[in-house]
Amino acid sequence: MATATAEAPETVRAPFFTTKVITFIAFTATLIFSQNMFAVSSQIGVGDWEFWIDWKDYAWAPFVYTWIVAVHFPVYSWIFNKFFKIYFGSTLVLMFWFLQRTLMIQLFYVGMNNYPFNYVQLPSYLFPAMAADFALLLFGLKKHMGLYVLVSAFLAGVLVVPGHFLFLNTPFLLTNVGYPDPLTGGLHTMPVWSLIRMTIPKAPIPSYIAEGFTWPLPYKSFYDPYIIMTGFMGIMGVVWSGFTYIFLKSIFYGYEKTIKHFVKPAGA
Amino acid sequence: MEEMASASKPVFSVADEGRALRNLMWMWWITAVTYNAVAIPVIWDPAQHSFLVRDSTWTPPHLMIFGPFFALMMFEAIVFQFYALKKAQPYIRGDIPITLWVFPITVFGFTLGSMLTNEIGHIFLFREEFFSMPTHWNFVLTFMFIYAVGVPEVVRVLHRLGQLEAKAKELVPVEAPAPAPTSAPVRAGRPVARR
Repeated sequence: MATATAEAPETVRAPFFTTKVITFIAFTATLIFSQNMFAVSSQIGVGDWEFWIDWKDYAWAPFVYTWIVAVHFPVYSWIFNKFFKIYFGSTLVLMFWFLQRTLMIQLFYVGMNNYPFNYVQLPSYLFPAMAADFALLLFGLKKHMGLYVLVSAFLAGVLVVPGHFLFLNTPFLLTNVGYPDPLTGGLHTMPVWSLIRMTIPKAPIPSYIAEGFTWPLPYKSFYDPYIIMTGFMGIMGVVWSGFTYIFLKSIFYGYEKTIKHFVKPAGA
Repeated sequence: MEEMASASKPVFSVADEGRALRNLMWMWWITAVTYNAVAIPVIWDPAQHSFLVRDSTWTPPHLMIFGPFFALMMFEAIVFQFYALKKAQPYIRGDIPITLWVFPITVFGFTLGSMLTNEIGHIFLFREEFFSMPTHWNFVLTFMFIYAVGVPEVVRVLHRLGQLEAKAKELVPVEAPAPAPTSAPVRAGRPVARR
């Protein structure tokens, strides 16, 4: 409707500036960019801790888990809301990432190497992603971005714990296995984590597995491993929120710096 | 936003600029798909490591699965930035808009720099290593930087298209119903605004 060619002045053509197609391209490009950054960060930044269902040393895992959820999800929530008015950006990116990763694993691990698919983990980032989206619902874009990032990163960090409890490898570590007694020939039935601890006495099994999960009741000590770990996750989320704020600000700095150079549309 | 109608900067017609920006938008989409495709070797690589144990960028399996993507990323960064600068939005040359220069620098610097630190790590520190060791963190930073400059590039083009749309509506305040299709060529000559 806006333009016509000189040779065919009567022809009125459909607009091509901000049509649905253009918006769709911009949206999918942003989604793909986001998913890609998350895929690389997860695979390299968190690595084997996130990937395999088997046991590994959890001593350093809280650092990388809180890093990925607190630095990535608040950014996705904010960006998708700012530019596309979508309130579930983080969850969307996470689901897209999980879909692609599942396809890749089916192809490369199951298809090429006959690796059992059951040994690959479920998306343990789901709760933190939902927390970031939820925090944005509470705050919106109108409020202070720094405060949003702080709360969002804290919630994401804290929710790593229930996310792990449900999706990580808890069912695997709690599975009962039979350990043959070499002396009597009998069979000792014990959970996998117990077997691991029998082999590696100081194996850092997550406390919600080794100590068992209970709700934090009033009579429980402040120094209960479960409370200590959750608090530590929250503190780490707050620590990472500073980096998240810088990351988000740098995105908007680049954007605003560039659009200052726009000339006025010529109108010819 | 500050709009400058500088005579020293090149001025397009609304239609020409719109077409160029639409092309640029598709180019960004292709770029995004290329980066996304890196997620393929990122999963393929550990699958190969279940039977291949030499972890270096320059082994044939690594070159086979990572090499084409890195080469394509760098090629696209050059071509698309030149298109943006020379064809689509030449008026933003000048005060070195940060995204314009950071993007190719990031792609080149971080990609090549990450390969270098990766090699140093694999030669002197860990021959075969845990995936999330610090010598691999540069790859993570690479893609975070690409995100930090790639997303503003996309929304910058979207923003400009919005401006053009507003201008076009200003030029043609009344919507005319589209006539029946004619045999006139769709793109024959310099576009002019319908008045």
